[in-house]
Amino acid sequence: MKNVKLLAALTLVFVLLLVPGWSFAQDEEEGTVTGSVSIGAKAVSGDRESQKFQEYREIPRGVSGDVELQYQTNDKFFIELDAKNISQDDQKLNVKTGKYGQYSLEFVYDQIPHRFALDAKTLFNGGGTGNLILSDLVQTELQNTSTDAVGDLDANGTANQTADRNIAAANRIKDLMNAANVTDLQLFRKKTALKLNVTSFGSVDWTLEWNNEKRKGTRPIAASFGFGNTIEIPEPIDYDTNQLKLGAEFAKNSLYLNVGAYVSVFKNNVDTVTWDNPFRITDSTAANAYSASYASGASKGLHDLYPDNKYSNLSLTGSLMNMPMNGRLSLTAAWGWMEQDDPFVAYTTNTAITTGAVTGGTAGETVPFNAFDKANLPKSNADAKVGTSLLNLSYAAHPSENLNLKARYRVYKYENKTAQIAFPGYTRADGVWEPVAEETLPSSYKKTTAGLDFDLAVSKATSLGFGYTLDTMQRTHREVSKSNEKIYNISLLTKPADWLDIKTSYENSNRTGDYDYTVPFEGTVVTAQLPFLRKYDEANRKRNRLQFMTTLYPSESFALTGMVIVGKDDFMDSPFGLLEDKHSIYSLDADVAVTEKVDFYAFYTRENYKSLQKSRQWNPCNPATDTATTVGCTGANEGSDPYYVATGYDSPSNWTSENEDIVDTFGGGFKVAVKPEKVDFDLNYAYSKSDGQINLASPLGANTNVDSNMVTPVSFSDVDDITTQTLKAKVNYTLKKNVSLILGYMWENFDVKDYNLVGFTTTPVSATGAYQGTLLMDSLLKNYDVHVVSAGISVKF
Amino acid sequence: MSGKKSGTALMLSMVLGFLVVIALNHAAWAAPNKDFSESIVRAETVDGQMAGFFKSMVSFFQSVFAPQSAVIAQGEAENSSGYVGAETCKTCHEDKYESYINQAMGNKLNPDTPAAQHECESCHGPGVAHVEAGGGRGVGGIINPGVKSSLPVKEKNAVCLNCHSTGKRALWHGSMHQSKGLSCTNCHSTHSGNPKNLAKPTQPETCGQCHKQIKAQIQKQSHHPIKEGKVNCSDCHNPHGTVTEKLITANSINEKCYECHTEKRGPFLWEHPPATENCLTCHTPHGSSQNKLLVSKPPFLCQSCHSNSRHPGSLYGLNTTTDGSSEYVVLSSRIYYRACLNCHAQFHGSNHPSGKSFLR
Repeated sequence: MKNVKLLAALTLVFVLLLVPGWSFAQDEEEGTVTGSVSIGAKAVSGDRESQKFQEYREIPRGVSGDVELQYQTNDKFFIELDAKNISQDDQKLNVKTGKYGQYSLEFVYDQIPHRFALDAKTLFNGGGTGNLILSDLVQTELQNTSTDAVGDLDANGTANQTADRNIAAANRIKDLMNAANVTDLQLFRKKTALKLNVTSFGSVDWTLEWNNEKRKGTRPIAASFGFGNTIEIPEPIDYDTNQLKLGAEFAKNSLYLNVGAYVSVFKNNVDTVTWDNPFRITDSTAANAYSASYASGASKGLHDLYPDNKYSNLSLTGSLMNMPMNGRLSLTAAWGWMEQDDPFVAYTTNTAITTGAVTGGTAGETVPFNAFDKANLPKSNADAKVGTSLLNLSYAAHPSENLNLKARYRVYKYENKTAQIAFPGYTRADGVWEPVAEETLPSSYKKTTAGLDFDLAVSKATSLGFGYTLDTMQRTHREVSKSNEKIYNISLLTKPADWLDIKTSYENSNRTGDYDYTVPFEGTVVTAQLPFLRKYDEANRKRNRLQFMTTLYPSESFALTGMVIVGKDDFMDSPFGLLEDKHSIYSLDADVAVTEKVDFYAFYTRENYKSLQKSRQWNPCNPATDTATTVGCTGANEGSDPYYVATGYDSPSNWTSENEDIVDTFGGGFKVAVKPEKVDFDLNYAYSKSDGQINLASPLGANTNVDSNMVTPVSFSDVDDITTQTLKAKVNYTLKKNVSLILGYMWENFDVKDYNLVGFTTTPVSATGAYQGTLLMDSLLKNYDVHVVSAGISVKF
Repeated sequence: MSGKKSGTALMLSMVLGFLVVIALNHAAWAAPNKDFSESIVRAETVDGQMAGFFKSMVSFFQSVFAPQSAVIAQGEAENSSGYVGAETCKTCHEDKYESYINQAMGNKLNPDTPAAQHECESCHGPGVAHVEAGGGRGVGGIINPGVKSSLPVKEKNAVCLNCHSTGKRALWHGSMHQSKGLSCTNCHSTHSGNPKNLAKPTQPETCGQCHKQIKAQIQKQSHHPIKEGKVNCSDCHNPHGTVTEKLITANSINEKCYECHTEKRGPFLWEHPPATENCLTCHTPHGSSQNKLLVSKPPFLCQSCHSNSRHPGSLYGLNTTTDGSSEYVVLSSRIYYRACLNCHAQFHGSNHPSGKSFLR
């Protein structure tokens, strides 16, 4: 049906646009039509069910085609139509009409699929809607299973209520999953755009563009009910985005001016998603949030999905040429407004969290109101507002034949004008009221950049560049209120001979700022964050980058390019957090016309990314109230609390992680005119392999009470180790001057090795059969190995 | 500023801005022989020969802003001194002629093309001296702006900028690629037969000539649909110059990401400040071995910034544990599958009153 609709629309649009063109062409000479039509069929064998094979495309079994048409008349009227992958999930239509030199009107329709998982499994009904429902019988049965009587014997014959009921729940869940609903988790973006461009108003070009995008489908999202409980549900996606752009561009003599306005309105047609708790049919409140699991808590959960929002922007760009020193002054000013005013949902949907119910706080503390009643919120709507502004000023000058210089100044502000809201507490995973007062922190930032660049031509073929930039970042409600980064760079560009081209650059920067680790935790007595940690996007940093690229032209028809990029970020003042981040990339690329009939290319790239981070497992003590003998503040806690006892950097509970990813990508191909203008043959191959590792280390302490890492950490050797291979071959046989027969073959192989995939089940259990509290949909990556054979015909006219 | 006030301010600013442009436009029409680029030839009167509804719309604007027909400057197209014509060029350079004449730049009906002016000589300069000297590379002052030519970059680029100096090229001077010594012909060739006269058939291939690491990254398992042809380099970057780092075509990196990922724009009740500030704190845009274009794998990515007490600071390894009778490997739900995101699902920001930790 979708194919019929598309083709009908395509034909209609084309005819509608063509008719007026023809009618106007009657007074002039006849128009000309050129174009091509390709139609073909594919046969596909292999594992098409992997989400990766058709992630953003469709490789269909059966017939599909492309159409290109151009029609123009001698009075400069034109119309162009370009339809790709007709009838497929990734089809695209582009129709453009107008008069050369006067105006153009363009219509675009584009579909993009995005597959997250095919043949996923779920117990929920109502996929694609905001209400995911389980059978009451299932909920009742599992709730009763999980409240098995105390004193039952576990698998080892000892009294162990928890283990016993976990095993029973696991067995029942596994049975249910065997008969679960099978669903495809995927969404489709359908974009429609209309663009008008008018170039006939003197020195002003006008553009008006409207875009609409509909996104519809499902994607997997986590929906936990507390610690030790992980549930995956299909998040309903039903978005509408409308965008309008208006622009005018003026150019006269030395003046260039561009004015633009942009409005983007996002609407989420599903405000919330509610899902049943598989393990509970009745609401209850958990006495302790940290042990809340399927045995207690809410009968359903609720995510407040992405709120509707609006963004408007106005921009003005001006440029003046013929300024002093052969200069050009450019200025851009822009102002933007982001707004979001969705109504809030209640603290929870759990009807057991009522006035006087127990909380997750101090014993005896009670819930102050019915948390499921929206009337008890301090505010009903978000009323969130952000103002953005940009000022960019640059002066590019050419004071002498050998010298270019550029001065830059830029300020970008993101000002969050949303009022702070104080909440008396919150519900943790819909299970329990936590009487912890929290206040929202609408953070803002301002980034100022000032710089000066020089390029000096030291000879006809060589130039040297020098640059200095000062980046200043100012933030509110974050750990670093102000930081400065000084960036120095030098570059050398030289073409000492026609056969040699060299480009190299080096950059060194140093970022410093005062790190205040208490800022994000305003009002709390004890920090929740390890005070030694430095967040890497704010931390002091030394950065070095070197790039070198050279191209050799051994002959007119041979280009050989080598490239090296190395870089290192050193977070030199960070005792904990990300300490170091390095990368090195090497590439070699050859492009050669071997003979007049044979073109050949090959490339190889090795990337190596390595980072080192450090952390500590610790538990907090409160120096205001706790002593060394306070329960919860002794033993392991005592030794690891950086605020209380272990106030230094060293602790046996420290650990480090060295993350490494080595990626090799290579490929090549050739194009052969087997029989010139009759038979062409193309062959291409691409290979990419990533080898990831996570190496863990921790100093082992002698005292189990102070060392949380008494078990030697075992590193991960298979971390997203992925190999992809693609082989494509194509024969183009010219039957007649304008008619070609195209035969194709493609082989794709995708192989993934990751620790997540070892022994994967949608309901993982321990070696004893105990349930791990997890109910997944099987959305992990899957291997595939697919062969595609295609045959088609292309007619040009 | 309230939403209503900001909307009003936007509208007023828009009206003011456009009035300025219209005034300048009107002035320009009063002196039509002074065009921004002297060689832009728009030798066409606006006489109302337009299709359908569009004709009446254009006429309306004309009647409002310029009652008389506007004749825009013709360049020097009529001055044929020193030009030999394309047929002469073709006698020696037939392959070059054929490679340009059947694509956009060779369309004589379009007054903005070289074909509508001096054809080959629009770009390569008048050819009389070249022909009279018997031809040859650079002989007779013939200009070769090709990528392998030893002509200085500035002179190569002048050929193209003579016509292409506005629109996306308006900020070329002083841009990153200009300062790196790139010529237009590093990326474009009127003889390539490719869309937009790209040097290679697609944008990723063209940009990948220099950006080898990006060329490799888009092959990775997690990527934007670039190799599928659904996202192009120019959807995010303008290689000719912008006012934002990395040649991004928006006022900030996040504003660019929000053009497609509009739902993540917020602002939210509970913000995740590094995400609000820069999406690239956690994501790498061109390709990653990790899912969702993440720079590293959770929970280690999250633990780079979160070493809170109890579970966020815990070391999650591929460890064995024991139930008292036997040892077995068990993955915590905090490292398995989506790791931290198994519970903290709303990490881009939450609008739920209980969403501070992004559990809801």
